[in-house]
Amino acid sequence: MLGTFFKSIPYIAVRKAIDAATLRQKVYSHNIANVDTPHYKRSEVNFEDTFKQALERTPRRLVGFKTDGQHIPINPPTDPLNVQPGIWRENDMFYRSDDNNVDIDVEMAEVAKNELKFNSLVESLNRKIRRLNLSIRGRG
Amino acid sequence: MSNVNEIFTSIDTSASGLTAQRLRMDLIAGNIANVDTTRTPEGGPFKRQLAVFAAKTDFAPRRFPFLPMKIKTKLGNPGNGVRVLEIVKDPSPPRMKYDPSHPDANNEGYVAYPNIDVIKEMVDLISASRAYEANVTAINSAKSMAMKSLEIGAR
Repeated sequence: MLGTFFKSIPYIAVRKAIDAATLRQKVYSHNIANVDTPHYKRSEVNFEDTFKQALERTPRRLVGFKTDGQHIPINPPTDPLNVQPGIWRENDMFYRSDDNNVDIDVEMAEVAKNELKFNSLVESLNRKIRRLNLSIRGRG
Repeated sequence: MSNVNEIFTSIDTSASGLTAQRLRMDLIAGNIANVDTTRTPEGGPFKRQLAVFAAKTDFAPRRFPFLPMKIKTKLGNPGNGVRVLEIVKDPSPPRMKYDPSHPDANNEGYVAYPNIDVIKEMVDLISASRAYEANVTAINSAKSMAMKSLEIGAR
């Protein structure tokens, strides 16, 4: 019973999203610390899109059909459990003369958004745990 | 993944930004204080000092000259903030001002003053101070996230 709770997709989704939000905070801190570093390029964390794709199991690319266990898999669908947040450096967007593409206003807004998202994820995880607790103890 | 450490390293990252910006503010203060200094131990007028920042990352950003640059590059790990590579002296020529009565005037009566523009320094000071505040905001955000994560599972 507890195993199914801890292996359920909503629980894993929230847990992984909290991990991603923590990593994102770190990446934004790095961007903000380097707001005056020449030639620095901002980084971004990509998690939600890949996780959503893995959940929907709708392939975006051509998928190879396997008729034998020894076939080489071509773009196999990813297991939602194995989706990890990825860090990407954005090399485009030039608008500063020092070749740096950090927009401090955007970064501050992203930090604020990320904090709110993190808080709501923790709240949602707490409610899940509270419901689990209720089902263990009962109302008495 | 150890999340607590993740939060602490993100505070360290912002702290490196605080250190770098504070050093920059110190240099600007030194520049403004020495705007009229004509004598230094190494001789000649004071030279404007600048901090050179570099990102603390494991990889070296490379650009291949013949290939088009990719829009996005995948990175293995986030960086660890910023560090001051070195403090350089601005090599631009000194301000020459005609003042024959000055003890440091040359044969034509011109005095070499430091190559410091106070207005430029003030603008840099505002920029450094704003960047400092941005790092403080990032630290506060990381702190509140760490505090919030302590509430997980608490009733």
